[in-house]
Amino acid sequence: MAKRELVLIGAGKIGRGYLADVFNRKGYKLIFLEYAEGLVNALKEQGYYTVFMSHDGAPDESFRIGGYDIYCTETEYETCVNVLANANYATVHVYPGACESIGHMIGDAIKKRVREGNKEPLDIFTCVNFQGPAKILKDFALERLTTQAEKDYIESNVGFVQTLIYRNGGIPTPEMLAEDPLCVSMSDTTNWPVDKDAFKGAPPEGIDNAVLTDHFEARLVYKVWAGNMVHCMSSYVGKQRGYEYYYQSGSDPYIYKCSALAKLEANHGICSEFNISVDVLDDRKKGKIAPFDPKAAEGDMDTLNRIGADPKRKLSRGDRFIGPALLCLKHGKTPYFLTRGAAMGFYFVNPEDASACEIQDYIKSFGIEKAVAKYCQLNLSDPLDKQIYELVLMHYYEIGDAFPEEITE
Amino acid sequence: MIDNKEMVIVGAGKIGRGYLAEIFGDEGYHITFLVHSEEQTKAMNAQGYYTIFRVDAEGKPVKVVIRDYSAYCVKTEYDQCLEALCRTKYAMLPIYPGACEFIGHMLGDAIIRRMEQGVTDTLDVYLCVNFLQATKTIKGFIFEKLTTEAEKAYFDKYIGLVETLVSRLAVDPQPHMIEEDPLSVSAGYGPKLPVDKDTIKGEPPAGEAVVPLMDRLPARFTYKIWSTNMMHFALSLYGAYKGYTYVREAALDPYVGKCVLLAEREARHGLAYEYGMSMEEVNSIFARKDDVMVTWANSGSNDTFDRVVRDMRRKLSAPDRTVGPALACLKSGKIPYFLARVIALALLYKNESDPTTLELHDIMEKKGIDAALTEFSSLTDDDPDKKLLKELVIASYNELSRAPLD
Repeated sequence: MAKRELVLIGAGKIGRGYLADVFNRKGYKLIFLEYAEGLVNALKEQGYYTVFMSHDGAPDESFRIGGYDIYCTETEYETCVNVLANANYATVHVYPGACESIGHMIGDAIKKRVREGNKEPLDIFTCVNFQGPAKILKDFALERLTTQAEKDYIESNVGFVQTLIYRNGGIPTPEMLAEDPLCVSMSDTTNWPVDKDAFKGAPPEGIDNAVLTDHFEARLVYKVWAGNMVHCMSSYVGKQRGYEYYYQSGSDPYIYKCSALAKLEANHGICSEFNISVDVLDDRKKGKIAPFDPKAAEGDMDTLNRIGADPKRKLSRGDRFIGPALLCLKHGKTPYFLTRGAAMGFYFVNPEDASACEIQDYIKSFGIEKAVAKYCQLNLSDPLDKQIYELVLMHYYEIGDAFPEEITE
Repeated sequence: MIDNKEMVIVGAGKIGRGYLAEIFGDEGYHITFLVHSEEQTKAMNAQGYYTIFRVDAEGKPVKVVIRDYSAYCVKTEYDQCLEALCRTKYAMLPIYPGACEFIGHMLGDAIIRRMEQGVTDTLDVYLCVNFLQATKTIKGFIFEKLTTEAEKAYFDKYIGLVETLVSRLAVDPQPHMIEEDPLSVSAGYGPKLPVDKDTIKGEPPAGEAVVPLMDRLPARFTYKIWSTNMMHFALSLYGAYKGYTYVREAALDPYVGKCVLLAEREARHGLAYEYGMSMEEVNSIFARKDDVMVTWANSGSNDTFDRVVRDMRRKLSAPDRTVGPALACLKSGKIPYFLARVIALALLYKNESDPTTLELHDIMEKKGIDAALTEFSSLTDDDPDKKLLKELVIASYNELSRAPLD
C-alpha cells in the first residue's frame, strides 16, 4: 500500500500552488525539497503559505497550506536523498538547468533504495514545460547507477511519469505579498493529465485530477509547442507593442490572430508527425479557434517579462517556436506565424533577465543574422533549417526599424 | 526618301506627351501624335501647345511648353494616321497592353501601305511600355494583318521592333497645373530613352535622346519591370494600406521605404537566377534604387495609387512585377518574404473603378484566396516553389488583414 505522502522537488509556483494544493486536499503529507536555502528557511519558519486562487465566474479565494516538511537540496542533501529513498510519489517542477542535479539526487536515492532492499515502487511525476523531461531526468539518474542491480531497479521500480501542467502561476500583487510574503497566485485549473503507461506502482489514491492518458509524447509536445507557444507569443508580440501585462496582450486582436494562426501551424506539424488527430490532443476545443473575446484576459496582471522569460531556452531548436516550425515545414506547410513569434523573441528586452540580456548583447556584437543561427540552433546548410532562418530574419527586419543599408542579408 | 526628322508617337498619354515628345522635340523632330480619343485630338489641335510640369536633375520644378505638333485621331482619322506612319522612320509606342491589338493592326495596315507605295526606308517602332513580352505581342497583332509572303518579307527587311526602357515617370497633373493648362502633364526627370540597339533596322534617331544599349537588354528590361515597376506598385499598395492619398506620401514613410527596398533586393536575387548572373554582376550593372524613391517623393507629384495599381490581372500575373521575381527568387534559394507581402497587399487593395480588381475580389469572396492566386498568378500546388509562394502570400494576407479572424 503506497504511503499517502508526496515529495515535491522544487518549491516554486507550480509546486506550492498546484501539486501541493491537489495532494494536500486529499490528505497527503507534503515534503518539499528546495534548492534555495532562504526560501526553505522562510517556509520552515512560517510553517504555512497562502494560495491566492482566481476563478472564472466566481469570487477569487485564498487559503493556507501548512503542516509540510521542507529540506534544502544544497545544505541537507543526505536528508533529501533519504526522503526520496522512502517515497512512493514525487513530483518534479524545476527549470531545465536543474535537471542534472535533480537527476543525480534521484540516482543517489535509488542506490540507497537498492542498498536498503526497498522494493516499493517510486513514481516521479515530471511537471515541467520542456520536451522530454522523463528521459532527461532518467539519463541523469543513470549517471549515478553503477551496478547492474541498480540499473535493473530503475527499470522495474521507478516510473518517470510525464504530466501536463495547465494551472498557471502568476506574480502575486503587492497586496498579496503584504498579507503573506511566501504566497503564490494561481489559476484554478484542476485537469492534470498523466501518462498512464509510465507508472510502476498504482496511481496515487484519491487524486482524481490525475487523468490517465495515452499518446503522451504527442500530448506533451502539443502542450508546449501549441499551448505554451501561444502564451509565450503573447509575451513577445505584446512586449514589442509596448505592453507590460498579459491582459493587455490578451485584449489585442492582432496578437490573438497571430497566436491562433501560429497554433494552427503547430497543430499541422505535430499532428502530421505523430499521425494523430487534433481532436485527440485538444479534446476541449478540437483544435478550433474560438472567436476573439477582448475580455477573456481581463484583470490578468501576469507580467509579459515572466511569461517570456529565458528566451535563450524558448527560442532554441527544441522549444516552442522553432520545434513546431521545423515539424510544420517538414510536413509541407510554411510556418509563417511561428517564425514571426520567434522573431519577436529577438526583440524581447528585460534588464533583469540574464538570458534576454545575453541575446541582446550578442545581437549588438555580432548582428541578428548570427544570433538567429546561434540561439535557434539552425544548421544553415540544411534546406529546411535555412528556410526557418530566413523567415525569422525577414520577420525581424520587417518588424524593426533598421534601414535597408544596415541589413546585410 | 523620308524626312528623318519626323517622329510619330502612337498614343498621347502621359509618357507620350510628358516624356517622348519633349526629348525628341528638343532634338528638332516634328512630332505627330496618333491619339485614341477624338476629343483629346481636337483639344490638342485647337490649343496648339501643352505644358509639361516636371523636375530637373536636382528635383527643382521646370516648365516646358510643347508646340508645333500634329495630332490625328486613330478612330476618326485612320487614313491620316496610316499616312503619318508611311512618312516616318520612327514610331514610338507608349501604350497600354489593352491597346496592343488595335495598334498592332494599324501598324500592319501601315506596313502594307508602305510596301504598296514602294517605301524602302526602314521603320523602327520603339516599344515604350511597361509590360513583358511586348515585341512578341505587337508582332503577333501586326502579323494578323500581313497575309502574303511578300508582306512578311517586307516586314523582316524594313521594320524593326525595338524594346526600350522608359525612364521618366509621368503622372496626372495637379489642379493648379490643369488650371494653367488643361492639357498639361506632370512628370519627373529622365532626359534619355535607352533602347536595344541590336533590333534597330535603320539608324537610331539623330541626337542625344536615344541611348543604345549594347548588352543584356532582356535582363535590363526584366529588371525594369521587376525592380522599378515593382517598387512603384509596392509603394502604392503600402501607401493605400497605410491610408495615404498620394505615392509621394508613401515614398517618405521610412517603414514603407524599407519594405519596398528589401523587396527590390529579393527581385535582384530573382534576376540573377533568371539570367545566370552573379549578385555582384547584378549589383554592378543595376545601380541602387534609392534615387528612384527620391523621384517618387517629389512634392510636386500627385500620382495616385489607383493609377499605379490599375490592371491587377496583368500586374499579378506569373511573369510580371511581383510573382515573376518572387518565383525566380525562390528558385535562387532565397525566401521572397517582402515580395510575397506586396502580393498580399495587392489582394487587400480595393478600387471600385478597376474591373480587374473587382474581379479579383469577386473570386476571393466566392472561391477563396487560394483560388484567386491560382487564377490570377498561376500559383498551383503541383510546383513546390509556387505552393510555397502561395502559402507565404496567404499568411502575409492573414497577418496584414484588418478583418476579424475567420
